[in-house]
Amino acid sequence: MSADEYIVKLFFDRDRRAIEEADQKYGKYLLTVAKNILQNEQDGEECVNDTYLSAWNTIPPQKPVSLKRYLCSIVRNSAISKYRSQKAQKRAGVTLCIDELGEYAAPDERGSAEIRRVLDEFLKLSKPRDMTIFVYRYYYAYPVDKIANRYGISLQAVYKTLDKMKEQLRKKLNEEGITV
Amino acid sequence: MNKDIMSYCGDDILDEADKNWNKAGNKPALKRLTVIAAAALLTAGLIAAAVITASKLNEMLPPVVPGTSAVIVTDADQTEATTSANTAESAIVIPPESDICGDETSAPTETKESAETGREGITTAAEETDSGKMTTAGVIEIPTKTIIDYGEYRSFLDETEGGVNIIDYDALKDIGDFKSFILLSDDFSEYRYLFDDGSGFTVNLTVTDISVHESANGYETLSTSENDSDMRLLSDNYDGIRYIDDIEYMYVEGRLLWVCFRDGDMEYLFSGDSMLDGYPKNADTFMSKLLTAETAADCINTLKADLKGGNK
Repeated sequence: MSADEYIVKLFFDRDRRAIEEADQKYGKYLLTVAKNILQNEQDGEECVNDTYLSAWNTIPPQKPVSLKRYLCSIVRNSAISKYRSQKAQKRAGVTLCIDELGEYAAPDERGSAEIRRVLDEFLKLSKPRDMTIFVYRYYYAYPVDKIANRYGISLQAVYKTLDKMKEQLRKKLNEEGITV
Repeated sequence: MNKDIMSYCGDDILDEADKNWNKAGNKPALKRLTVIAAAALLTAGLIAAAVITASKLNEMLPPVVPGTSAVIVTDADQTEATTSANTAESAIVIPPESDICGDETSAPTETKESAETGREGITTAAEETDSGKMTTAGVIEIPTKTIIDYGEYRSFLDETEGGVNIIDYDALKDIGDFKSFILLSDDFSEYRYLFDDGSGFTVNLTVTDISVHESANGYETLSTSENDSDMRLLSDNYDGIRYIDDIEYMYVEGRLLWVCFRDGDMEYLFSGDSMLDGYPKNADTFMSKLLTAETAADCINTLKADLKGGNK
């Protein structure tokens, strides 16, 4: 049994150690994602706590294949919601980079699958480095300077890659009849 | 509720991105290894050069009886020479008379080949940063020298005779006060000045010889069409590149990231420490003139004239 399977089992057993174990393994990771989006440590911590609560309430019946992705998806959505609520109250000082890509309301499950297919196809066909930069910026909301440092390239180079990828994605979505 | 588009991203893509990200974190170690390998090859090259020099010297000197010299060892047996080359006591090995001078099948040639392989090795390591190919976006900025003292900067210019491509700061005084000079390329084909423009803002000027660095900072393809509106006057959330009066302006979320123009093979890119957002346009500075529609063209023309006059 893998560590993740063990943690999921704890959730199923309604054992509170599930949250401790999940926090020990993924706490820092989740906090990074939340902090990147909210630009605030305290708000980020609140989001991570909300994530554990949400996981507690949804596992079971959910049985995630990848616990990491499951928790990350919850924390990301929670942080984005919080950000939007702060923005509505004019508390968010910065524009969320994720907003640069626009939003899409899938009319149904089929629509979701379609957009997932197009997006995956686009990212798989991109150069690995470009894809990673794009994902780290627009999924994990990493600051551009951190991405530049990671790859040892200039800020300009990162912006240029993002700019190029955004244009290509817009084109691809338009070709597929998906409007964002 | 609408979802942001990346929330549709599949797990396998995210896993792949994480893997690449972690791999990228190991790059500096790879670079260090490459530098060590290059240094080792350089040493090998120097030893080979010493062998050749010693060989030629040996030719000019009276014949040496094999085995009598403590410094120069002439070994008639090639196999033995190869073996002894691996030992510390015979660091300099001279092949038999027939192999000296001009015979490129002996050790020096091997070393030369190794050196060439070494160069290829370095290129490969750099290329790996961009999945096999160095591209425009893959410009690696590793300062080879950073100078923050003006006196030291002057000495450096004197010592290097200015470097053929380095524009002397004296030609750029209009931009601001000297803050630092960063050499990004040993052949002086890429370097950066940091200026204090007097309004509390640090302006970076990156100069790149695009005949050497094929992939420079600015776009190569988008800077072709003029736009109807003057993007310098934009203040809304515009993203992307605009080109006007031969100057390229890069915007991210309505904030100006860089200003770039070219003159012949040279590319000049102005940027702020982070962005030029909030730059005091009303200040009487070089950048404020560059960012104002009425004065930008004059500003560039003046700079171009200064560059030509001040280029060493």
